[in-house]
Amino acid sequence: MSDNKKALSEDKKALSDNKRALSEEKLSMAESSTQMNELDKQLAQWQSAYKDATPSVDTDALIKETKSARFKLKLKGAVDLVLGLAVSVWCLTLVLFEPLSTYQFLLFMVLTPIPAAFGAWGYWVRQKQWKVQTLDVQSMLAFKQNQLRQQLHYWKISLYGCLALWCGLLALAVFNVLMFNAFTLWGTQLLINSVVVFIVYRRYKKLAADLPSALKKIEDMK
Amino acid sequence: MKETIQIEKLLSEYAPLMARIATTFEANKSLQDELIQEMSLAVWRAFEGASKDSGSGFRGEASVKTFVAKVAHNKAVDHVIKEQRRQEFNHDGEFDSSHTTSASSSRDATLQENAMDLLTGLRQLEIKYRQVLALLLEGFSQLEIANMLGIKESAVAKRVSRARQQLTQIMEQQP
Repeated sequence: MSDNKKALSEDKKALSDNKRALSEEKLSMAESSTQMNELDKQLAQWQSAYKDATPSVDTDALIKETKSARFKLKLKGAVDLVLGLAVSVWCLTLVLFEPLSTYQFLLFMVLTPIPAAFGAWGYWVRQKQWKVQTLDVQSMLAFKQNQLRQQLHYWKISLYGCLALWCGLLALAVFNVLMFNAFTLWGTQLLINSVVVFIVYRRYKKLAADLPSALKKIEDMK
Repeated sequence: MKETIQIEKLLSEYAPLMARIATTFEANKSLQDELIQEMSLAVWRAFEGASKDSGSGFRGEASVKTFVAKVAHNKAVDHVIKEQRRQEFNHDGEFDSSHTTSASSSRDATLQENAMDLLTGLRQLEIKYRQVLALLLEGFSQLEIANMLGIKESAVAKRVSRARQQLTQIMEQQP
């Protein structure tokens, strides 16, 4: 009998504990629900304030300006392409119909495709640019980082190209000064080209120094 | 011609959305105007390109609004990168409040003040937090934001939570 009473008392205690736990859980859920409501309320307030912050936009003027900017871009693209093609056609005409020396023939043969290829490359770059805008932000940022690396690479190649040309010019200058004593003419050319090489070198060094921080800034945006 | 009219209608419809994104990323009024125009041009070109190239563009998007917001956000981030390079970014002092719809009553003035406080706060957030919050305030779902930003939905949830905490702190500190 005493054992039964004891068991009953323990059951009652367990029930009471359960009730307390249930009540605490309810309280916690209520608190959490209040918190959620507060968060939702705050978000709703912010959403409303954000919509109120809409600047007034003259849409007619905006469309007009956008149309004009688009026309200018298209015109620039067309002019680039047409000029490139025109120069290529002119070079081709010389190669096909003009009496040229072997040296001139080879020179114009090499030159012929370059302007047209440059125009086509420009068109490809512009097409790529609009496609980048349709990517997700992460991919766009990755593209930007790659673009910065490529930019440095192009400047490096430009620097090597300029240096190679400068070395060629130096060899010619030495030859002409020694053979024909044409110091002023070749000295001036060498000096002008040295300035160009120096500018390209400075630009390359500046870009190389700025690259890590520029890449990090973009990385931080990801 | 039909396509041009469609794009014009689209720009008219989404100009306020682009303007809000521009004000979230740029405080200077003249730069904001420039940015809105750049966004409009980017949206136009993206739609043109999308109609030529079925492999990209808005056809795979949940909605046209999502597509426009994505292009506008990309342009805004691009703008921030360029401005960082020019070291002229974040001129809070130059914000021109007269640019927004003019307040006609004291209630409107309070609403505008709240809006300005929110924008000032938003602009102080890191770009990644600013983006998720701006898109959330536009009414996009976390899944849509994840698709636009190219990150996981769980990452968006984390960023939203941190962004809200930071913005709350910033706004509490504001006078």
